Amino acid sequence: MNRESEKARDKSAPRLVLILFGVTVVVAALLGLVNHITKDAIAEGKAAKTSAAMREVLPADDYTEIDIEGKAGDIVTGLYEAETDGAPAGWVVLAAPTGFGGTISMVVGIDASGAVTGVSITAMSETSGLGANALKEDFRAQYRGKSGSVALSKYGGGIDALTGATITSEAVTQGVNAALKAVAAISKGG
Amino acid sequence: MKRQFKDGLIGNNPVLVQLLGMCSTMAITTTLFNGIGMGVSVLVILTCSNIVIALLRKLIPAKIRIACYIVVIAGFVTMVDLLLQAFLPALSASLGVFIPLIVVNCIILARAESFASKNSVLASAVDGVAQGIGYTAVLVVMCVIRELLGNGTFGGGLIGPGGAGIRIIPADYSALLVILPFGGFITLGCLIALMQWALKKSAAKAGGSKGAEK
Repeated sequence: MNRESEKARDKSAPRLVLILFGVTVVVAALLGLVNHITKDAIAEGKAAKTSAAMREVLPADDYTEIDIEGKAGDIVTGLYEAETDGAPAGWVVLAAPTGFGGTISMVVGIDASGAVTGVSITAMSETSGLGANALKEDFRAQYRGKSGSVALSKYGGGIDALTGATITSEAVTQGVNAALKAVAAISKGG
Repeated sequence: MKRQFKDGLIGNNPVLVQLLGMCSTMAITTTLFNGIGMGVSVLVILTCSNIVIALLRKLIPAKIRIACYIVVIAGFVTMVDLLLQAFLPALSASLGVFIPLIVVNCIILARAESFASKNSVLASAVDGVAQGIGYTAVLVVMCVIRELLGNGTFGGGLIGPGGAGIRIIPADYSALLVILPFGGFITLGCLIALMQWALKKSAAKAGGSKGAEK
């Protein structure tokens, strides 16, 4: 429309690009630095949390990862064979069902007879005060000793859902079921 | 400077008067630990971004200022996010997605645009701290109310066995809905009403000096 202002814009455009580029480069460099400092601590924290959870659900001396490619479905993200004094002690399954507020990362321990030895939740973003109560021992302990498949009480299973957090309870149940299924598939196949 | 602090806390409180940053206020104010953690994170990011934007205010052309602000703010938010993940994993897990979402917390962009881009570095730093304290104060009040009524506890995540907080109201008598988003809206609405009432009252008391505001 206005010739003159258009010209002025043309002239200033490269300068604008350069300034924005400069700001971005500086910020990116700083981010790289912070990432470099925190990378190891974050990875260490995550690994420590997972291995602590594995030890909690199924105490054993040694955990060996088993390849489960295409055998265990979408929910199971990892499967470890646990050994104590060289004898198989059972399996530890990492599962990631979808809850109310995104993925729930959980660890399920299953003994050699196929019964759940423990459930631990390593990361989730459920509503605090409701779904986040899944972290409580009372809820997780309900899964202990169950085998085959588990279900919430309202579907005739023995698991009492958390008050006001049916979706979270169902997700955790789903995770345990997926873990049981994966172990069944592995122990049958191998 | 004293005036800036008073403004941040009361007269121009970011949440209760400017009505900014409601989303995070509603979402994370369920335990005291969350409230303080979020408040301090925002305070740090707000102060840092205010300082940098005040430093760059003569360099950044008006046409691309918003883009520059967002890059600076996003940079600081990501740094705080990484640092929390590395050194305070419990808080990071509990605040979850709301830390990255500080990028779009309008308090920070609003202060950058309306204050830091027009004032000196020192004044902008003070503004960041003052507004951050105002935000944190509201979060803490919201957390205490919602946690007490909704969960029956005080200081969840901070004190008590396993961070369960101190139980004040027996579990059977707590009103669950206060913890839900619905309760967040109601609590915040009551607080805003209370604040407006208090501000109006003090303005009436001040009488003719009304023009002196701002």
